[in-house]
Parts: sequence; structure tokens; C-alpha cells
Amino acid sequence: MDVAAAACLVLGAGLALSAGAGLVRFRTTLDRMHAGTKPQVLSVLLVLVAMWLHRPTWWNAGPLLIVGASQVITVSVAAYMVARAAYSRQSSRDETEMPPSEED
Amino acid sequence: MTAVYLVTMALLACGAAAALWRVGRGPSMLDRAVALDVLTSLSMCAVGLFAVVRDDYSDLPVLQVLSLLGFVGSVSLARFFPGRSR
Repeated sequence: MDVAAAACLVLGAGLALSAGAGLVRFRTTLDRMHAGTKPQVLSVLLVLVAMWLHRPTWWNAGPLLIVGASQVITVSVAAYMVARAAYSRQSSRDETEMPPSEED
Repeated sequence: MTAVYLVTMALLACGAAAALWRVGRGPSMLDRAVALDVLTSLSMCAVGLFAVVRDDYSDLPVLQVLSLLGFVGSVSLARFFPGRSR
């Protein structure tokens, strides 16, 4: 049981590091979100699973489940809001970078 | 077991350093919002890790508060983002 908890901890930390590396490496905001959000949620869920495996009782399962569910819901909503703002900003910038029309 | 905990802490520290670099560098505010979101989840991972290391689970409400706090921060930043400021 403790070995499984340790494996979950290391895997979660590795996913968190991959989120950080994706934040550094990618170019645009949408790419960074793509690299950042998914490993972030997975790493938090893996750490919560490790916490439950470390001390598997029902008294710990309730708060851990609440934290995991709220993390999944809130991170997806926040990523949606940020992606919408980034996309509208990117498309408006694309429009301003259009070449001048041919009648000029 | 201590080696596993140390490796986990090192990985979390490297991820946090990368996210902090993006917070300082990031060309727009949305990049900083994404990086701060990642940083919040990294601190959640760190709180959970220390709860496992010290065998003390009294930090569970802190995890809940951090989760909701990161949500409110990034959503309000994305909602009221004017679009042009850098």
C-alpha cells in the first residue's frame, strides 16, 4: 500500500514538472494552456490518491473526494474562461494584421 | 521512503521554478493567469505531500481553500481582461 502511495506521489510530481516544462517551452497562450491544465489536474488527483492510500479510512475519503471533484470542475471552468479570452484576443489580433484591401 | 519524498519534492520544486519563470516572463496577463493556476495546483501537491510526509492530515481544508482560490483568481482575471494591456 505504501509503495503504491509512493508511486502515485512520484508520478504526480512528474506530471507537475511536465506542466511546468510545457509552460516554459510552448509559444502561444493556447499551447501553454494545453500543456499546463491537463497534467495539473492529473497531478493533483494522483497526490490525493496517494494521500488516501497512505491512510485509507472513510474519514479521509470524504474530504479528499470533495477536493478532487472541486478541482476537476473548477479547473475546467477556469481553463474555458482563459481560453475564450485568449482566443478572442488572438483572432482580433489576426484581423488587425490583415493586409490592406486592394482598392487602396 | 525518504528518497522518494526527496525526489518528489525536487520534481515539484523544478515545476514551480518553471511556472514562476513564466509568471515573470509571460508576455500577456493570460499567460500569467495560466502560470499562476499551475503554481496553485503545485502548492496543492506540496501541501498533500507534506501531509503524507508528516503523517498529519489536518491540512485537508487548506487543499479545499487553495482549489477554490485558484479558480476565483484565474476566472476573474480572464473575465475582466481588457484584451490589449500587456
